[in-house]
Amino acid sequence: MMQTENLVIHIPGRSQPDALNWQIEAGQCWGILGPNGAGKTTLLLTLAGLKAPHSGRILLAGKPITAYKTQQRAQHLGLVFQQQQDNFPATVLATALMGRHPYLKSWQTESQADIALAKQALAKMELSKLENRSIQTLSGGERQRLALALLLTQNPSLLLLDEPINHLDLHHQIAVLEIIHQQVQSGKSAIMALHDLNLAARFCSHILLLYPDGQACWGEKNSMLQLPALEKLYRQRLITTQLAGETLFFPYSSIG
Amino acid sequence: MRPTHFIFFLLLVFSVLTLINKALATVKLTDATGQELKLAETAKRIISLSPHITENLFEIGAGDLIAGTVEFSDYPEAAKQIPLIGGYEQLDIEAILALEPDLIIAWHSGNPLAQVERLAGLGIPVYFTEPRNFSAISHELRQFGQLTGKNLKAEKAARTFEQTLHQLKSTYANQQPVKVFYQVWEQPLMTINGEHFISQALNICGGENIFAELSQLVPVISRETVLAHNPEVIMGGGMGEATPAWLNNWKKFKSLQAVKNNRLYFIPPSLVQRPTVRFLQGTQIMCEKLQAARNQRVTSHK
Amino acid sequence: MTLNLLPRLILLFLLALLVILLGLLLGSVSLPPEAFFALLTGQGTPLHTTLILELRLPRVLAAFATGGLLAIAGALMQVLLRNPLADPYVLGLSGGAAVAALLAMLAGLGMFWVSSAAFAGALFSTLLVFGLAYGSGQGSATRLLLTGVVIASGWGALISFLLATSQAHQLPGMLYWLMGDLSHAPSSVIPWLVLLVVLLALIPLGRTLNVLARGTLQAAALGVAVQQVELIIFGLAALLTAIAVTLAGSIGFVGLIVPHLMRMVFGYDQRILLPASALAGGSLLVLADTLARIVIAPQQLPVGVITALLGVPVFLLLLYRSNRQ
Repeated sequence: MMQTENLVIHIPGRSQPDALNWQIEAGQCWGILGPNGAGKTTLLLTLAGLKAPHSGRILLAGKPITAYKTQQRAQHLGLVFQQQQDNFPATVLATALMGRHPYLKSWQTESQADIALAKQALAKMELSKLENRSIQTLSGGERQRLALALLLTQNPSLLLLDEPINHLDLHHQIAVLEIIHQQVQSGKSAIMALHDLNLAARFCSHILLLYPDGQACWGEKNSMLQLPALEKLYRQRLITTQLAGETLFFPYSSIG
Repeated sequence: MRPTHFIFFLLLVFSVLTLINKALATVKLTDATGQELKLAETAKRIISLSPHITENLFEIGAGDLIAGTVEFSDYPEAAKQIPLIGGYEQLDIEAILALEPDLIIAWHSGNPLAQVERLAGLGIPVYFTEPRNFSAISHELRQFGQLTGKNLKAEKAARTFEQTLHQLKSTYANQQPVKVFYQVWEQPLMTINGEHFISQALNICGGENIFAELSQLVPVISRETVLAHNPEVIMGGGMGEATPAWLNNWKKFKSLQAVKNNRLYFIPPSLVQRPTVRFLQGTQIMCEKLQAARNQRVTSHK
Repeated sequence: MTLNLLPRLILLFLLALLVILLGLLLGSVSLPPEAFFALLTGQGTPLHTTLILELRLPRVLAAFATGGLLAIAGALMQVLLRNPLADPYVLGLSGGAAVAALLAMLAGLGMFWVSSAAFAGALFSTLLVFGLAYGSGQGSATRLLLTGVVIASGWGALISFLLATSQAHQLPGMLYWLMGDLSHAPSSVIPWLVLLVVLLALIPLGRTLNVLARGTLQAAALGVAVQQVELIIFGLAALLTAIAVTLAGSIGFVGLIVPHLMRMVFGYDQRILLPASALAGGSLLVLADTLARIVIAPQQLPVGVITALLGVPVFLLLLYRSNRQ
């Protein structure tokens, strides 16, 4: 679905970053792990075609991403940002409906089918009751879920998500990750930047580790989730254990 | 009497006579603001703070006594040679002081009073003028005559002015009144009320300013009101020289009687914008135009 | 979703017609209602016919067009800069027009030249701001705003200079232009055409604008060609403002207040908001101009004074309400 060739993302001041030769296939769910400042957001923006790379190129379905018209590109991939810009009051439903923008010609208005899709997406994100509320009255978690509903309405084959479970309570965190998992099972791909090591371990099939100095390594999750690599990544001692067949990681501290 | 006593007596008489002479040589008058002004001798280096003051000084033959004047002092020609000391709204105090004047003649409503008071505070005598009607013009001519010692010429100029004025009044003031709209600016449309000098001139000519009753001296009015009043004569003569264009803008309103009878008149602005002797020339023109309108009225009624 | 707003839009349209009618009936010369009916049947007196057809009708139409143009320009600027405090003049357009118009007045030129100068000045200022903001290739709405504010200040300084050095008798004319005055609006055929054409052109752009309001990155992620769209919006807003300023000088508050008021009634969908703003802006300006004509009749006020007097309390009210929410 997506392929990078010698991709080096643009982060000022970095001297020897690794070039990424990365392949993302359908049915894969990639987790990007790394401390703050490693460049996770920059990487996602670059993959989405919203930021120019330092060097290298990105191929989307075999075609360079720069060859796509923005509208076409938006039909293939969608991005959920870390922060939402909510300067202007709009209703929740109207915002979710924006996800259909890439499929509509300028003069067309949203059809009943489009509205149905948006409502479905809102239902999945448990926002149906808030359909007609102004987005400025939503809590942080509700706004995050709305952004995800927008992505679902957009229905691209590649989902890019920058820390999608920020601000969400535990119930919604799991709900969102399960929905993403479902989407991936149905033949899509997802790339998400996550802070929570354990959730990444559970819900992702593949992992990319992004180090602050620009080094990167990627692959199947089992081969990536090795203690030395992770400790080096987070510069934090970790202890690991097995629970119900899953590997769990805990930060080590002399206290407690 | 012994010879020495006689000489002392002569010296005493001589001293007393000189003192009396000096006391009599003082110029003493009241200016337009009611303030009394005393000068030890007639002014020799005058600063004129308005083009009309300059014009009037030249009228009484005191033009060569003007040491400095303000911008736009363009009449008569000789006035253009006088050194400039700023504009009538913004004076150059330093330039004024550098000219070492012994009298400043100021325009009360036109000059920046704070600046003029500053000059007065520095010890320079200030005479305020504020001519609001015709008799004020001849009065000021006489006052200037006293200030400059040109009493004879001033008296002559004032008399001529009064005679011409009287002539105009007796010829025209009691004629059939003619309704007039007087335009002083196009954008926005501005006219004058009854207190304005030009309106007074119209009265002398037997004209009726349709906007005489308004409270502002130079109000902005609507074309609608002019149409509703339907004046017999439209005169244009503000400060711009583009007046003929203003008159043309009225021509499309065919319902106006002034347009139908072609009574749109241009008055040269330079003849109506200053309270000087030339104002009579402007008044003369106005009177003649109004008379033409009256004559036309008579013939059209026949 | 937009369907329940349709009755409100129709109501607004009817309100606009009513306001236009009022503008024709009211003026410094009072017109009895019978006279108006007589006019409609072709039996009006010459005075009334002239008043309504030759004086009031062109002026009311010019006022409506100007108000509509300014309101749309304001709405577009607010989307473009994603700032509810933006107005059509924030990028220095009116300043450039003002300097050019004042220079033409100082040179003693007639009204046609003053208007042409104003238009040229507005376009020049637009190109200047645009060139400075986008010239280095790093253009963005923020950079545009900053450049525009600086250029606007520059024009403001020049205007002060021109006012300070002009002769006393030229000042009323200059001040009236700066405050906004419809008493000499030329024929408004072109402004009306532009207004209608732009409204039509904005229909397809409406949804794109909605998406753009959510942020440039998000819009790009949803397939919007952001820089292209921003250029078009800016160009349209500049054109609309230039025409409005040419017609009536720099009338304030309409471009700022009307989109806010319309958002309160119609929500934030630009597809409804823009035509609603046009209707409301036009109505507001006709109303303000009518007041300017009758408040101290027969003396006239420049319409900009009325819009400012109306605008300030309305804005304070809006602030108060938004604080309470």
